[in-house]
Amino acid sequence: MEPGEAQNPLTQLRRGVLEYCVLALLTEDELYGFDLVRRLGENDGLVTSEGTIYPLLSRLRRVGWVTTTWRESDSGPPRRYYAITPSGRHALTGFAAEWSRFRTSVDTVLGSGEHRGEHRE
Amino acid sequence: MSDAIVEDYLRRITAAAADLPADRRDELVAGIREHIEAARSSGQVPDEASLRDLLDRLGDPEEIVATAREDAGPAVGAASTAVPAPPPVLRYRRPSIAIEVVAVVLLTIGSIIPIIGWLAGVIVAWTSRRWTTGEKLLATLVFPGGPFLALWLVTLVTGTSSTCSSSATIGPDGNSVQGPQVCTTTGASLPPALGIPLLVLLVVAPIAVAILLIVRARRRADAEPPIPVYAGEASGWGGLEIAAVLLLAVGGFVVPFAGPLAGLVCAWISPRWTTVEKTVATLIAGIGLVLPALVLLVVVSHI
Repeated sequence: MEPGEAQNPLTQLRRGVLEYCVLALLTEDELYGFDLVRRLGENDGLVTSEGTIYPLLSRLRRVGWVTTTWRESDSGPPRRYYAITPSGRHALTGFAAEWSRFRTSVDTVLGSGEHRGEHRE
Repeated sequence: MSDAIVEDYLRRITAAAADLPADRRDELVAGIREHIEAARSSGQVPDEASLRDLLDRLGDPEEIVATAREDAGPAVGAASTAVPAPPPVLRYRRPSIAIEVVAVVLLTIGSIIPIIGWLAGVIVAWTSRRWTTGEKLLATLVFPGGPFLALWLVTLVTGTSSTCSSSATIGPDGNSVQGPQVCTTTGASLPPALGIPLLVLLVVAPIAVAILLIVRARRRADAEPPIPVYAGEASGWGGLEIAAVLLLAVGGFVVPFAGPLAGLVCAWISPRWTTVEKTVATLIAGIGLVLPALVLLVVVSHI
């Protein structure tokens, strides 16, 4: 991964998709930032710079898809925990259905065009 | 050194975010700072190399801020609620080992209340994060019931075990004639040569274990990151907290029941103590309530 490369074709797409991945992680449990970032990072290729999750979390909070609470931690400073809201769940359900269709279509089109694609070895 | 690296990184984000609204910038920097502190307090950043690695993974400050800048668009129209900013840190205090101290006090002195006091100590000890399972076992097994139970048992055994009776008969001259002394032994009677060292062991060993465990807890607590004290919450100790502890500890002996109850009230209205600390105070209040009750019971039964 080349850092600072503005032309990574997936940068924009990744950003758009990531916030739903965040919402999906929060459906199971409330998480604090570090934990959330670590769990996203466990998936290959999902997050390039972990720091960009924080502006994204800020946006999710401002649109009302997540809420935050400060909670004492038993080690270190208090942590900001993120929880999904009903509207966040609603948004996630909508995205999940759309994404499924989108992914299938992209795969189909990419697959059908494979003989034309120029693959660098 | 590592703090300088972190501060430098955060300064670069702050500088890059100069054009963002102040609340957005502060929130961003606070989030990244929290991330770094969470990684550090979980022990994942033991040295400078791993810290640099952590910052690398967080990414280029410019890139992070660029993401924040783009987000201005889609968020328009959404309810903008002011983020509750973390309160400013006044100073840092060393982590308290209140739980461990309470556990040890209950296990030793607390065992004056048979079973209950010691059992409370065991429960508190096992909630400690600073003791290993081995150390918790040590605290539990040296000795079950605590030194006071041992003391009581030994007194009980030596007190009732040997009853010596001599059959006294009245002789012809009217004086009593001492018959052969008959000693009946019930239970295990220990000769003093064995009993006294055993008693010392039963009392000394728990105290030695207590000291060892406190020393270890203190050492481990000091290795933990210092705890920030926020503006608005003064020190952990004020008049209210001192009053609570005094009332809980000795109030029961001065004014039975009402003393510890008042201490309990003081503890729970304290703005400085956490719920855990208040729970611990409540456990101590239990002792302060039970002990005078026991004394009262003994006194009443003797009248």
